[in-house]
Amino acid sequence: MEIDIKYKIPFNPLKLEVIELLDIQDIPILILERDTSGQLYLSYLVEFKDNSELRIVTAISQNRLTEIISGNFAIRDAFNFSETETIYFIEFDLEKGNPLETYLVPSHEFVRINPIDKDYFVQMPFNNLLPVLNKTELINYAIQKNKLIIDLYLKSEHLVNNVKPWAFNRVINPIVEIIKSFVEIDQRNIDRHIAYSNFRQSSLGVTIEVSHSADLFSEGPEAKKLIKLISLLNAETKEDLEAIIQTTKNEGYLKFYSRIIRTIIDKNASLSSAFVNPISREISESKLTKLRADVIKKIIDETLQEIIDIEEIEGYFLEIDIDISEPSFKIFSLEDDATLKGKIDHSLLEKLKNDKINIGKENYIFTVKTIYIPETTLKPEESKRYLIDYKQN
Amino acid sequence: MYKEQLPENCPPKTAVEIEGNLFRIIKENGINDDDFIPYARQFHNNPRYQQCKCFAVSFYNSANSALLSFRNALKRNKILGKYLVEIEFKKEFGKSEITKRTGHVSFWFYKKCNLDDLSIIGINGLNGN
Repeated sequence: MEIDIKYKIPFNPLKLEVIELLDIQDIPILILERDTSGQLYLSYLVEFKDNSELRIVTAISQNRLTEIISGNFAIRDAFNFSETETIYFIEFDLEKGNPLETYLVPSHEFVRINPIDKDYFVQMPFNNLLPVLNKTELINYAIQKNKLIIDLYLKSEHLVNNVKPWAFNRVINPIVEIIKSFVEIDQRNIDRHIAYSNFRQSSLGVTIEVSHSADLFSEGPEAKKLIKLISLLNAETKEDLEAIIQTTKNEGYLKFYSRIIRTIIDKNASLSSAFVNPISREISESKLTKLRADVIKKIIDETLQEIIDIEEIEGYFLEIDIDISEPSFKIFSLEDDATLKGKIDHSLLEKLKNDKINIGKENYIFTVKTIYIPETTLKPEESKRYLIDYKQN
Repeated sequence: MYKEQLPENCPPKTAVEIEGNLFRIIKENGINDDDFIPYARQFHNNPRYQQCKCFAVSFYNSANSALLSFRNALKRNKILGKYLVEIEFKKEFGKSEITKRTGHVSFWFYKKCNLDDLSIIGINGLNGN
């Protein structure tokens, strides 16, 4: 193929690495490449020369890549309607892989010489694609941000074209709840300590950044607490699970863990997690597959019929009814910005009768016991709350 | 376990052992070891092509699929070979993954599989027309 010499550029600005072969038929026809900043490129083989190959290369977003691999987007159009409106023609040495010549052709010129057949589509299973972030990138990212990083990658056949609410509600948010429980982050300060970044779609990738109190020379306590999350997601036996439970102050996080396990099974999903410590520059990884979730669910069903969580909640009374057979309460939680209701423990009735409770006005620290019964095949998850103590704030 | 030194997580979990006939484009009227060199070994100093699929040998599930790939390569100035061989595959030869759209099969041979183990059903000449 002859390319107008006026488009030749004196150097190759792209340092590309091949990350996936989207179509190989004895020769690598369509490949996915990535530059050092993580930008993805679609790369199509035009022709072979003596000892080199000529490829056309264009930058591509995650969204478009998802469309392409689902078989809904013609490869010709991916180049004709390039998202950056520029197409590179790069001649690579076949023996060494180094670029020999590079041309930068504007999109409007390229459409006249586009060599790709209009009926050329590719389709591949979504799970053949690699998560976008690699280990080096993750460590660099954690150092750059000086945050503890938990990178999650949730894969499911239900998340190919878009991200469904369950992915957040039943997996990502419960992970955040477990982090809050392990690191003991107060709901009121959550925005200061936890943030999301690096959203990737294909299926769903998300990074959770957690603040820590480390200095240059030593780790903060948060890192040791967070590594438990990876151990939890890697748990395979009753002993693994018990070892984690023994080191935690309450068991409340188990209801969120149980929810994640159930979702992985229901949605035939898998959750890859990586925890990165910017001080030690170490990565701990876990992979929760449906197979592992099935095993864990049996252990949970056998051993954790009830999960008891005792927590202190700051808020005020909205309602107290002690004149019925099962006295009840309704409080407003300042931390959760939500109303909570349940039964009043009988041992507290006398105290309530004697105290002059100022409903809706005075703040209290409530001690609430929650008995959580995980979801089963027959019954949805259930929780019962008991007010066991309170004191004026 | 495999003939080639494969990268991590290779072959993919979706790869399976198969039984049946597959087609491969070869250079001469008869097979030899050179006909089964994967792309990664052919260009072993090229870091661009050291991914899992580059360590697989290309086969096709029909003669028509092989012929189509032969013609597509020819358009790109590449002659893949002059002959098409049909081989009967057994489960103990290795693992493979098929791309249904093209009929292309990536085949990762087990180390224990030798050229003598392959049963040739037939060899036919190819042309680009």
